Amino acid sequence: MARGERTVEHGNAGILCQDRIRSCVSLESMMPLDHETIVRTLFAARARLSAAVWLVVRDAQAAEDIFQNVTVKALTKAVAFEHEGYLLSWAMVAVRREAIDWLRREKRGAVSLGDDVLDLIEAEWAMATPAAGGHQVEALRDCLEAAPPDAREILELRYFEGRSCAEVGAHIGIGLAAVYQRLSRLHRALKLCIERRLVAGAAAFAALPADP
Amino acid sequence: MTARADRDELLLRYLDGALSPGETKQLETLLREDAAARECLRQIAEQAVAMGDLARARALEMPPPPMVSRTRFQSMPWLAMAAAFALLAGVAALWLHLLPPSEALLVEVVELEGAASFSGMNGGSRHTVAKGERLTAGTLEAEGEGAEVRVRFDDGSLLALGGESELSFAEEAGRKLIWLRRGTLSAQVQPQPAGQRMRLRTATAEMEVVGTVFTLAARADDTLLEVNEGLVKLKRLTDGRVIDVPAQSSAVASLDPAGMLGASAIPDAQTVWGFDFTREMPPDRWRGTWYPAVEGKPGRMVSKAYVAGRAPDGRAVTHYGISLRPAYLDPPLQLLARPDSVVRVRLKLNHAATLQIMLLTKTVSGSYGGNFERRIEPHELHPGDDGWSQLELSLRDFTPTAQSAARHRSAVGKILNGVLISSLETDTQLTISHFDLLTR
Repeated sequence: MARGERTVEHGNAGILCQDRIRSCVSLESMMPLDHETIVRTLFAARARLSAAVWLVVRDAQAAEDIFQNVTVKALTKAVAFEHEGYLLSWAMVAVRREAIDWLRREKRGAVSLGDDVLDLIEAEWAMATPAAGGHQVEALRDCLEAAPPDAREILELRYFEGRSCAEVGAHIGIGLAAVYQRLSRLHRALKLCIERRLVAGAAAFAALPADP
Repeated sequence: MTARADRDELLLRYLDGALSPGETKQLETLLREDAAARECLRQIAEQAVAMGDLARARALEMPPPPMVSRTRFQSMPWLAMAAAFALLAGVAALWLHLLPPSEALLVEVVELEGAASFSGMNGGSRHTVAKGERLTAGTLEAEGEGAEVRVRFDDGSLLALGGESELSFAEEAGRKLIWLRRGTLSAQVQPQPAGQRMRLRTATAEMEVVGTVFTLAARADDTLLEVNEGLVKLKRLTDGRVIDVPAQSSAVASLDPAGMLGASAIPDAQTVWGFDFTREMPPDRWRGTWYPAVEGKPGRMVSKAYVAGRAPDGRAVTHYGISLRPAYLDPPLQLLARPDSVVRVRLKLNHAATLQIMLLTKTVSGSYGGNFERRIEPHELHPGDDGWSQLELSLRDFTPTAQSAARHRSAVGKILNGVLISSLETDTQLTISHFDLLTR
């Protein structure tokens, strides 16, 4: 039985009541995900959930914090998640809501993309299988680690320290337009690197001897 | 400039917060119509988050977070649980579970009551622990309500893990890292070397300890810290606020950042207290299934199975019990056992059987106080026509359990961490309506 719940007698039928919301459902209809499954599922989708947040807030630390907050909410939520799909749908809605709240609170006047555009982008994220997403993020990390120090410095200043492109330019001594160009090239290079690594990884797997 | 370069710059300027409202509309139109632009934006976002992870990992001088796949979690459930902790513990996404596996022996099991199991961080299989065993970094679980495990580090620091609690520990560059995943922990920490304060975490709090005596309860939505000696720095993970909790004070770090965070003096221990299961819903960490009053039938608490120990062949010994743990009340209470203390229980069984009432204690200074028991044979119960019996037992008549006998003589003068009432290896549908601690 999940935390915060107590079995309640009601006539002859077993029903499950949740202390906090005081609602009851039949035991037969309820197979909630356990905490480990919730964490595993959210962690598997972490890259796309955090990235969806980042698209709105454009702040890596805030994206991480919001992802964690939503995970905490998922674990402490009174309503049970009956399957992983429901959990992920709920999480995508929850992170976007928190991201927009954060933006309104921390960056007044900042403009976000419209809901319909975010819906489209998130739908395409959702179509990526978790397994493929996992390999892709591993490849991305490998590529980032292999990037030249000056490239990493720009990416780190921009995306970890959250500096604006103008600040990045001032820091490394180049103009704003040049920062945009460099970032654009770096993102494209990373994309190519990821694709190559994924292909190489697939080729390596293909070269493995078949199981006896 | 090419169309792609224009598009990329538009995306980057949006992410830079440099677009005018008109340009934002233009970008939205582009994104609605152009899947490649959407893919580009998704990739930039993923790269930005990954860059943040890597930089954060470097800042913490630790490796990046693991790529979690279903297969990996299934083969390493410890990592799955560690991941849960990491998530809940804020920046510590990279904390305990990512330390390099170590074979170094860290602690010795110096006292064991009931059953406990251990699994090493280096992937060692889970096994039942024995008194005297030395353990590497890993996860220790006190199985069952009445279990208690005490482990000692080489510097003499002692950790006592309460029943149904789970603790992970490791050491990094001489610093002890402790994660209380659930349950209760009492600690007597020897003065730690400069720069190597012991760090403890729960899902909602982080603490730094120089050398002190304290008790920690990791509850569903918060962490209760009671400091008996010394000083503990407590950080609430939801908002990063830090407070000092001095001796004889307690604090609660909850998930709610709007909640008060401050140290308050530990209230004097009570010697008289009662809980009425017919009217009050018990905390969900108390063992038992609570049935509220329905259609004129009073509320009650019915026993639930728990693992009380392990037979020599490894078989789990199951008892059926109800527990009362004052630390999980809101606000938490401290109950003091006096020489004239009496426990009174109103209970019912569906068939005669031997019962055990166990007192789980700590000393007033916060260290482990031992477990004490009193067996109730069937002839001692005198049920009325309605099947209910009332028991009154002097605390002086409780004797130390076999494992506690060598070091702890009496429950009198101790703080009651919990009371556990069980039928032994037989499900008698033990039911309790009232529990009282009195003085006579």
